[in-house]
Amino acid sequence: MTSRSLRNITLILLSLTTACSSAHRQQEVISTYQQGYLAPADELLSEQIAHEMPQNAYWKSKNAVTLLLDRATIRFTEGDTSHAIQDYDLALQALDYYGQDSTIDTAGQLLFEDGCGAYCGSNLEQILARVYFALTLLHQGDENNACALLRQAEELQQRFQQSIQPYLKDHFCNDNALAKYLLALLLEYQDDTSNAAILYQQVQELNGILPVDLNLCTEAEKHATLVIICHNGNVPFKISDTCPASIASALALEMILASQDIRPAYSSFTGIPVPALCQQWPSCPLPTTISLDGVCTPLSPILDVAAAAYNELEYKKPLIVARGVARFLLRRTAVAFAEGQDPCLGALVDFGIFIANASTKADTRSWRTLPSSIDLIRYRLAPGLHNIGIAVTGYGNNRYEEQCCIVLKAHDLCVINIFNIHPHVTINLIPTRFLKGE
Amino acid sequence: MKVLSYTVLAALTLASTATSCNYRSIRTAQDITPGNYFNEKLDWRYGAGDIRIQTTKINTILMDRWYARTAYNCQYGTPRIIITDIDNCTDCYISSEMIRDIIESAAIDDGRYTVVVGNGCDECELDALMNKNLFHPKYSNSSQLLPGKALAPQFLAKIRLTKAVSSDNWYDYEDYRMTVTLYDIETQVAIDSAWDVLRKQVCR
Repeated sequence: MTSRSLRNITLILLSLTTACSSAHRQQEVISTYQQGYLAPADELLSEQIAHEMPQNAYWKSKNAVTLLLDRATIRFTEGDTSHAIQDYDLALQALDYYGQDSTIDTAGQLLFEDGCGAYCGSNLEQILARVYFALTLLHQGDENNACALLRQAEELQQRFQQSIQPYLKDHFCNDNALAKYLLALLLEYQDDTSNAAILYQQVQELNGILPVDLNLCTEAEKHATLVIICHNGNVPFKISDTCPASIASALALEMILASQDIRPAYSSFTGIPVPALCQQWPSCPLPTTISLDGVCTPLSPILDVAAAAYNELEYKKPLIVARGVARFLLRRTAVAFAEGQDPCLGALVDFGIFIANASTKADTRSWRTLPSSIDLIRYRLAPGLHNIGIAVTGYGNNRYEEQCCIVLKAHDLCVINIFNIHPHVTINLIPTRFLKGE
Repeated sequence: MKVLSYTVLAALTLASTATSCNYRSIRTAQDITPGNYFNEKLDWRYGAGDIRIQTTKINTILMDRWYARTAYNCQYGTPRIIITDIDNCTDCYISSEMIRDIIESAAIDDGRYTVVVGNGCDECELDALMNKNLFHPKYSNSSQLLPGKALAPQFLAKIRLTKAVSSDNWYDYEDYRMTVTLYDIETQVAIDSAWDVLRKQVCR
């Protein structure tokens, strides 16, 4: 056995033992973040990153993708864009690294549990990682690199779309309207209107609320563009659930085996763990209104992240269940083998497997700092001074309001990000170069 | 039962091995540019190493041509290239600071020209820089040299990066084309242009 294999086996065992503490720490970070304490959340996460992957060695931690993406988003929300860029860049490298197949990981997932393999991000997360990276670059005014990343996201979407089975294409769509819209916007900004028109058309088909005519117009160079993006609520988090059908199937299997004079194994009735999505009420999106020079307009949702996450999980569930069935069969075979040697040994192994099955959890890792919904509004404005008001209606009497003035020149592109992290926590990020007096 | 258990075990082991039979490794690429016999190992992402290779090649070509055409003697002052625009048409994130550092170090290594990189993102800053450069006494000279009147000339330069990808079952073949176009600072007329294609073979 090579040293690499030994290292991987050690990592699997280590990841099994540390999975619990990692999940607990992540929960602590998310709670801190949702309370609006961004700097402490960043600190907590940095400590964990320093512990799990010293000197940014992402290949040392199987949770590198979630850790880096969470920290990058927290830093972006804080306005620390230069560090956020470093984290997003590293996260993309980690996504590529862990996107490669590994025999050891697959064997570990088959023998132990799904969570002991490396997390390589869902399709949605892989696209949104590029979109958020592009938004961070846009905040810094680097449209060129933002466009490069959105091109990457578009290519990835096309690749994912090709990988979907043809009979499932009507039920499952990987297309991300936000990524397409932002790419169209930047192409239009670079005067590539023909490609921009195609992408706007695709967005209109996906979303239905952003007609092409509204976006493309003549004499664009005489106007400034203001885009307000609201990252609204918190994406549902994963919990480990048991597939009810698996218990019924196990029962049926044991009945068939009993008819062949094989003693039932009690370890079979624990069921197969599958991830399920769960959302708490304060994590739901909040109604947000923008008033521009006195005219109020509500933001329109461009991407329902929660629904996309749910759809993708449903699409991937058959594979997760199939792996669970294979694991169950392996363990049931071990019980039957021991039973065949000695009934007492069989009972002992059955008890051991019962504990193993009961403690086997589904993989609940995900990018937790994503919003539940992303809303957007676009204005085409005359150059000059503009007053912007942001109003977020929370629960009860809670209402967040803020006013600011921005100065735009012709052909400027100003992207404002609003983060509705929780009912009482709203943070807005306006590029300082557009603020009056800067 | 024993036979069944062994069969199941063997089938599952085979299935898991067949679905994924490789270890993870930090991906690398090979430089398979036609005419390049060394096949150097590069980072799988287009980055600093690749830009350094291409910048050095292109700038050497441009400067060789310009020196041959004008018969300029750099004792009168080193020509200056002002990079006003870096147009990244690839799908890779390439930090502007990184490009600036690489181009500057390529210029230092060559020694026949100097480089100033304008920040195209901020128009005011670029305008100020251009005004300063345009009226600089040392460089107030067209790149089209008049005989016997040789001060150090300066050029405007645009860099464009494009990417094309093809693939087979095992590899992606990525062609990165870097084009540098030089413009006369006074007339804004294109003087010369050079390009280089770097072909990378990246394991899928």
